[in-house]
Amino acid sequence: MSSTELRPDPVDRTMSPTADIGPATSRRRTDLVSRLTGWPALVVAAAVGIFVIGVSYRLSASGAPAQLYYLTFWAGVLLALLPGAWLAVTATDRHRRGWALALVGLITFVPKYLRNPFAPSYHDEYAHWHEAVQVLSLGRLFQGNALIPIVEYFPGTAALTAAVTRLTGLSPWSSGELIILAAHLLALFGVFVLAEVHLRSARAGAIAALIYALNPSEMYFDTQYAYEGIAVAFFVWVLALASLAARARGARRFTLTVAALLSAGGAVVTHHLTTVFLLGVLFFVASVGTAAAWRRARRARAHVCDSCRGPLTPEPGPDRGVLIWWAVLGGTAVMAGCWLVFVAWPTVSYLSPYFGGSLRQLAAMTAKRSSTGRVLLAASVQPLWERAMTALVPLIAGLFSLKALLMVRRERGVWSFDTLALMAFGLLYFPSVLFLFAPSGAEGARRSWAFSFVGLALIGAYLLRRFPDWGRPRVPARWRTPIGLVVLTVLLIGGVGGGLNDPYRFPGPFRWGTDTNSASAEARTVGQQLAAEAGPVRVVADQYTALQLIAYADLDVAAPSPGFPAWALVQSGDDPSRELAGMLYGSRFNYLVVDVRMAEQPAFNGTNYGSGDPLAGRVTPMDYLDRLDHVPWASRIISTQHLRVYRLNLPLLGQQPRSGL
Amino acid sequence: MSTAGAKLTGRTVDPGHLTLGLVGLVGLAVALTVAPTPVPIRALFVLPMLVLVAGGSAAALVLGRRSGNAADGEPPDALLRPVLTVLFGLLVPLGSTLLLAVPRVPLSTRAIALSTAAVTLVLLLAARGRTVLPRRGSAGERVRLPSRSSVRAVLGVTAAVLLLAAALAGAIVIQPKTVDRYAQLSLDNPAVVRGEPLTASAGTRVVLRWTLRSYGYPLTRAEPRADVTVGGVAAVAVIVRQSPPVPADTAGIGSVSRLDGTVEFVAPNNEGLYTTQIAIAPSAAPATDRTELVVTLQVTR
Repeated sequence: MSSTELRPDPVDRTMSPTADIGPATSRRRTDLVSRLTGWPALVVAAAVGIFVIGVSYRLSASGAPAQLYYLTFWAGVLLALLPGAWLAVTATDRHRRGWALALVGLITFVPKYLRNPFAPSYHDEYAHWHEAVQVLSLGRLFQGNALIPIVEYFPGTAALTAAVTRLTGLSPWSSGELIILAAHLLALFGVFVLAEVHLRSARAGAIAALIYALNPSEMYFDTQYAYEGIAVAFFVWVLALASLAARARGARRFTLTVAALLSAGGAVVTHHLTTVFLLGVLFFVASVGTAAAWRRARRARAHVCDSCRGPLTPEPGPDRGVLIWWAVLGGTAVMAGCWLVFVAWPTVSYLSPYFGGSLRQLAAMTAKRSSTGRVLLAASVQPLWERAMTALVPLIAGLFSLKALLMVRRERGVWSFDTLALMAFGLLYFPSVLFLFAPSGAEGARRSWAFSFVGLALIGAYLLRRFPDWGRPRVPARWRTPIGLVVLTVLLIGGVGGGLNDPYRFPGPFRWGTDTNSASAEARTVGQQLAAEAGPVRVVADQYTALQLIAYADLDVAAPSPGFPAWALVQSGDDPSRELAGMLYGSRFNYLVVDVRMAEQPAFNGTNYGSGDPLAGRVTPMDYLDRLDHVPWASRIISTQHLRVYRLNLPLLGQQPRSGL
Repeated sequence: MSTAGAKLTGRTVDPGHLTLGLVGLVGLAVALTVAPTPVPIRALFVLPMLVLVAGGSAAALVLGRRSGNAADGEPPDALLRPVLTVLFGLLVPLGSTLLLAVPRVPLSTRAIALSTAAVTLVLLLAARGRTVLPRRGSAGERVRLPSRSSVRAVLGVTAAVLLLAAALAGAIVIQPKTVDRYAQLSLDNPAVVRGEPLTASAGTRVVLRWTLRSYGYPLTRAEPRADVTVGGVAAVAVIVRQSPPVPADTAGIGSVSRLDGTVEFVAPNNEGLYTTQIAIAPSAAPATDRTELVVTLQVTR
């Protein structure tokens, strides 16, 4: 980086909330802003906001109207977040900006933490918590995992949790939350450093971190105790450290590259999808750099040979920044390849159905076969205004990206290849939105946002740091702050609204068919009782009860599929087929746990036994459940008001019980 | 929370002494981890100490000497260094725990503490060697100690964290506490639970053992009502025995009280498979807590 790039960015001054207004007014406004964004006021606002978020959860848990608890929630979040966010963007002091960003990180962590502070509640949390508990109790990594089998081969989360638990004596859950908080803050600061390096402005860094904090995955999904939340921090830091290395000289270039590779190693052993995205973005940046270098070299040759007619000058050497990106890509690819081949080969078969399936479904939708599509925000209590803001997010992002594209075109040659490549990577967000309409692709689309928003954050920061100077029409000074706050609010509310749905975000009365609000003490104690009486046996259960049985009772629960339709025990009015009975008996799935609430209301998530459930979207007829009490091949050995545990004796299949004495 | 970094005073400490002090702190952290030290001390001292020393050393190895300015065109280290400290503070325990898995060393407290400390010490000595210790022909750079303003900043951050933690605790405390009230009836015939058929000769007495556990309410001394049907009709000569309810001693599953009982009845006179239903309704339970067991009885001659 040349010394001319070190000058304070002139556009930063124009972002000042008091720019372009008279000196007296400016002084008064500055005093007011200073008081409102002073640290005591900021911290008190954050504390009050956190408490108000707690009030919103109390309201939702008590069954209050959705409008009320949504409004309360956003009042709390905005009160806690906006002052800190504003200070992070407008502060001129580096330490104040850093602390403000840390406060933003803390506040965006709080809603998920408050959702379930003492125990797992989300599907992936059960899987990782159980994995960590198993690792700690058996003293070995790579424990099998019935909920997410692939977790076994990516032990980063469990290893870190085990280390923190052993060093501190905290419970595995508390240790995990501590790690996730650290990773969450690291990701935000990583985006800050990345944008600061690329856009040469600390203010741009803060804006980028703020935009990243607004991504739909950040407040709830990536703050849950699971591998992605940790690996995303490593992902961001690989990009930040590689960017720093590409601009550094001497020994520092080497050490920064090694640091980037260490971060990449952290991602490789922690999460498969993050590794895939990391390899993708590294390859893209390196390829763009190489293409740009070739183009420059060709132009230079053409210029020398055709215009000057002089002796050939040496070709310009390869841009060393590009070599750094290739080095980081190569190192990451080698680590990922070795890990895949020697440790985590089942990852291939685990991930392939998602890619192939979603593409097929998307193709089917374009061919007007609407039965495979899904309706966004279906069966949701989400208020209309939050849905509207959710719909606005891609629109605003699209307009911002278009404007940035036009501005970048005018400044060709100013920005480095990796800056432009990372911005272009952010555009991946737009095609991913399409996949929301494909059942298998929806999760993948959402999961991609944690990564593509890094690029979108760069685009947004590039644009917003020059906000008043976008050209005509100029925005009057008095409108800049309100406009900024409104856009920030829409992006925040719309972004979170586009992430997880109501039962994941808010506590509430029991609701059948969600991972979170279907969790019951009954299921937990029934599982523990079964384990106490029969040991760690194999069980057939619905997907919601399974979470409790696996996590708290260490039972091995069947994963039904079209090839192993274990759901037929419950979701059919007939005896299981001989073939299925043979599979169940042969695999020693000798117990069946039934929650009769599946006969009272359809599952909120649509299915009771995964994607192949024959009664998807429908209530299981009570007759189907009651018939289990009248067949000789099942004995009910544990019973509560809602749960029934059967010991299966499938060799008796086909025999008829007698009536009378 | 002001510009603490710019207000350092001239108080310094010899780098060699500082290195020895940090080595001593790592040793103390390991000793506290292995010894039965209270969790708050380990959480507030051991982990931060290892993270700060290991992460800080790794950050120093990557960034070199403190520069505090943007002379190289990179962001000033003032922010990058502490953030990298946390990043490496995650990577060091992750790496040292994974290293233990290679020779299949069990992940005990001692093993993790020692491996993390070993990696920390290697990083510390390498970092001190690179950044602080005397170089050829030059005196060692003395390390400046935090000034009064730095201490004030730390106190300010601590106060802010405490206030936010109090708000968080308040938000948790106001959440409604729900206590689920239900009864759980389980069969206590181990052979049947394991899958062996319940068999009886025709006309002989059959004994089934059961346990009733209550959650969210205590069972009373009043006898629960028990109904038994065999093959869809009321059983003959039914005798129900039960112990008085006792506070539950089932660790971990949270029941309030339990009572054990048996039910005896006469098996049918004809051989075959019979569906046997036992319904127990605890006296103090909600009406919906009538729970049932259903067992297939195989009657032989």
